[in-house]
Amino acid sequence: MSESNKKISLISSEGEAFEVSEAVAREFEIVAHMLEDGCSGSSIPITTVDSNILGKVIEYCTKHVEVGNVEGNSEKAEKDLEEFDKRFIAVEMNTLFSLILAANYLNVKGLLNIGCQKVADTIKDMKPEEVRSIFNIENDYTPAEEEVVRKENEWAFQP
Amino acid sequence: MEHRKKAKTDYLPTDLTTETLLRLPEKSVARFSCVSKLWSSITTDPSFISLFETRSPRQRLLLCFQKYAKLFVSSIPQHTQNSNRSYSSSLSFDHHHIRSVQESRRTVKINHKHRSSWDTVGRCIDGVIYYLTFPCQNLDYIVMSFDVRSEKFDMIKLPSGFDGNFLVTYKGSWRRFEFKGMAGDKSVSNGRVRDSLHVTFKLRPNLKMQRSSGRSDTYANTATNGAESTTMSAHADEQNKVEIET
Repeated sequence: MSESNKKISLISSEGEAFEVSEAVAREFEIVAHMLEDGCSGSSIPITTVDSNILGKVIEYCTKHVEVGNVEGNSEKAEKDLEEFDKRFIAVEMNTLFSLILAANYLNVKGLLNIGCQKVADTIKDMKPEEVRSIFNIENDYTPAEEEVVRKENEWAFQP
Repeated sequence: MEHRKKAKTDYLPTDLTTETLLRLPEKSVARFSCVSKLWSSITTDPSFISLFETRSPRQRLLLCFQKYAKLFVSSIPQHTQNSNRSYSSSLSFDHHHIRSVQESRRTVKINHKHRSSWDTVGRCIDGVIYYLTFPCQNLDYIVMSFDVRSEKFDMIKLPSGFDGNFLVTYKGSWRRFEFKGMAGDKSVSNGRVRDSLHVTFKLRPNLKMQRSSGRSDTYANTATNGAESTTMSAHADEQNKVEIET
């Protein structure tokens, strides 16, 4: 009974099964806890995450587990991983939001971190109107109220 | 746009919005308080601000000014590029500065009695201001420190016989020196008075500075992050002697 070779199936919201090694599954902290509590069989339903996103999160975790297992040459490995993260997170906003939500739910800290950072980098120079549209936020200020808040933060609107 | 509206999990819950906002530069955060009332309440929440300050250590501008025997300290976030905006607006985001410029002024209590003289010189390193001064009881110099973040004062005693009313910097890594003794003299060259200080430090690379605990043999050199008015040269020979000239 070799623990490290144990395979675990993660089931997406559509019912699709993704077979991963236990080490990868443990990257999902929520799964790690389940495994520790011994309250799971070899298949774990991830009901809030669809196949597309679950596949991506698994891809992310697999890469990070792989790199984590390589001994020596850590500087190069770290660079590689950084490159991977960069490419991995270069997706459109909707996917990015879904990845963040999944990372948050599954408790994959690294992914959550680069996801939030990516959103921050993307909106950094935007106008409030653009941010509203990206985040699907309704402007609940009256024109007069908004004017006041804008005035207070006038410096932040200058180029 | 239309299909975006229809998409399912199209928005982030508040805690994740907060996570994202924490990763933004201050200017963006200030601008985005106009996005919605919720975002405004996130960005002006004291716990958000204090998290923001610890997560993104930005350069701060420290203003020290003196009125008679009073030393005023004001810390404002440093916005590069953009120096046109007025003080008050830049300060609105900043919760722990001492608003002595335009608005209310906060007085911070101090436990070490000391006085400042007309030529008190302050230096700042890592958000802590240091200045040379005298305690009330005698004429031996002390270095007072004021941590702008925690708003706490501390005192560093100097060995008696210290002479000189300036602080110097050494590569910004003053913590690494333990003061052992010094002698000061004055000389005139090219018609200008040059103060020279010969200082011997024992190099203590991995030790934190010992504050005024026990024997008073600690001396602090201080530095700002950027502009530095003291010119200085330092050499370390094999006997670990450092000579600093100002």
